[in-house]
Amino acid sequence: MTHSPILQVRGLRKYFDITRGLFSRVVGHVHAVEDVSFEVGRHEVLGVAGESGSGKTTIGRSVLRLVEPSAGEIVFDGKDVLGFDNAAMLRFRRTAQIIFQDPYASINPTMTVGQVIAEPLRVQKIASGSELADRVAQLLTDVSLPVDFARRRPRDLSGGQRQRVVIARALAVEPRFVVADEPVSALDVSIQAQIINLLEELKERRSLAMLFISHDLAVMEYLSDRIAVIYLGRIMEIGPSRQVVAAPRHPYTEALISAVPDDTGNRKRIILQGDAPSPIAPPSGCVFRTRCRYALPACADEVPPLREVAPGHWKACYRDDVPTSS
Amino acid sequence: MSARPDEPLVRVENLDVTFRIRAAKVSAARAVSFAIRKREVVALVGESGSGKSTIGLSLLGLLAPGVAAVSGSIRIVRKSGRIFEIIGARDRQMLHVRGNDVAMIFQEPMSSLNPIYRIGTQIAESLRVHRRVSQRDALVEALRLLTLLGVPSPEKCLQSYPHQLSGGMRQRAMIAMALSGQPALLVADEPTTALDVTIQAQIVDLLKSVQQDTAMAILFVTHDLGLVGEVASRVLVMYAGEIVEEGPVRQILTRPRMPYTKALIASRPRLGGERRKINAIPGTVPDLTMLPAGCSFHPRCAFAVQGLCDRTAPALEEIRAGWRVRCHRWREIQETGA
Repeated sequence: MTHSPILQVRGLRKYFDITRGLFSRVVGHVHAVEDVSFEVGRHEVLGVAGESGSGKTTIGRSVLRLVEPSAGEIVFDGKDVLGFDNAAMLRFRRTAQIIFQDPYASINPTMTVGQVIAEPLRVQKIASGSELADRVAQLLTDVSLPVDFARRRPRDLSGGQRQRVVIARALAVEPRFVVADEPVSALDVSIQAQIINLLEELKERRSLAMLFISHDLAVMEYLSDRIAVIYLGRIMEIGPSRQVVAAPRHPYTEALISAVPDDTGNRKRIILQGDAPSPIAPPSGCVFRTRCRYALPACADEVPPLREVAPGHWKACYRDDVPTSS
Repeated sequence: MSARPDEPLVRVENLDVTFRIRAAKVSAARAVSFAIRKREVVALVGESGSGKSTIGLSLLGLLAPGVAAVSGSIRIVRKSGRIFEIIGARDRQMLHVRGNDVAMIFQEPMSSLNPIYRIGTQIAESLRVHRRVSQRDALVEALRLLTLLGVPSPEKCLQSYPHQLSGGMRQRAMIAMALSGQPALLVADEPTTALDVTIQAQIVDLLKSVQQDTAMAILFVTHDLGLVGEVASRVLVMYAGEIVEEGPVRQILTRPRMPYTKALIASRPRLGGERRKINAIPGTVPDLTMLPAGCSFHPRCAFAVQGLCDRTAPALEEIRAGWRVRCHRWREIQETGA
């Protein structure tokens, strides 16, 4: 057993072509992910926080090669994921899985719950026959669903029950790494807590590593060991969860945390002006500078590199003297 | 009938709304009673299926008789000072009330705006419905409203089609339309749920400042308890079509009495708060076509007792001035923390 991280991502980039006309001429690119590097330790949960269009979902899909990265390096368990052939990809899918946001869109409505959960086991030739049925029953139990749910159709299930099925399907192949892309966002508040607790329990029991993608900082702080904050495809800040939330070092993180509704009414609000710029033509230099209240003329010149400001806590901002509120 | 000076702006009494879906009857709202005073911001909280949107639609008289059976009373004090009964009102009368006395904004501004007309045209249209003004004056007023609402380049926004705007800008356009009739009550149905958190902060801020400038009342419908503390002074908590707790926001968020409110608060991780285990509420929201006997929350309630909670439906009891709770056991469980 090594102490090396289970996942290393270096210089990840993903551009989507913008095409126009009859011959789909490429007229521009969406810079969805721009030079992103991070690691996920074994048994670690790394939270990826960002607003819509930040590129957080593309990061999650890229590391599993559900979308093909434009550039960069993805090393999983010491192996180069982007160099995998089909056979190696199939083996990779046994160790790395994904849980999607919308449990209504990510389950085939014509299959029974049992078939949904059994599918990865059949594809990977892990089990068949009565052993397959036993495995499905065990997985249903693991996600606290009654065993007889195997015969039901997805339409008979509530949103929370569907998300349990999606989790059972992801865990069927006994992966060591899971990308959870907004796994509770589509659920009611009272159901969210059930799924959060289930994820935490499964993570402990199966010693999973996880990339937890969310826009909900409270849920993220609760589940993650470390948090990476993404804005316009770039990491603005990455560090231990408690530190990032309690003492954010990047102006964007500061604003993001201040915007979270607070029922005590004590949190000081920083209202960001305007909308995020388009990822088709991101600003020069620091991508956040157009909405940053601390921006200096020099921020337009070059992209600030991530630098360590406390042990394990990095930020991509030139200024040492901000934020001032924390 | 003219209103007395102390009459609340809106008084909802015994509102029942039942939808008929094939053979089944869905009771979306049951014996709902509450009032909103002038200039008051009230939050209406609940999960999906709790009936909170149904209440919002009822206040606008938007539930057509063929769609839902509506009974009870919703009386609003009109600008003229006269009291108007919304339930059973004729469409033609309702046209005058809607927009002028009570207006509504919705969760998804994209589906509430007409995609083929420019924003300016749409705001001008709603202005001209409410006031006798020329198209030119209406556009000038639309520009003024958008400027007031913090739209960065309002002239450009007037010329834009909905798809050319961001979610936050579209919601501002919706708010401009809602404000065009200078209503005394704005029903805001999850107005920030589809928006990013930094944009949500902008819109919440905006609604608060507009509310203070215009002295209108707001019924803020939301599923987000955190937001409740930000916007409202009083909160109504709904579960399965009923109000289960009502009272001042601060007290209810810190010392809830109804087990559902307690459980809802305990089920949310708190950002930057002390690390505590969150408690999930077991089970799911009941099927509104087959409500449980007794208290509708009892199958999921940690405090439910057999023979009582599963048999007798609790009444909404006033436990202190302005604080009402629907629970048989609130006296015994009040000392346990949330």
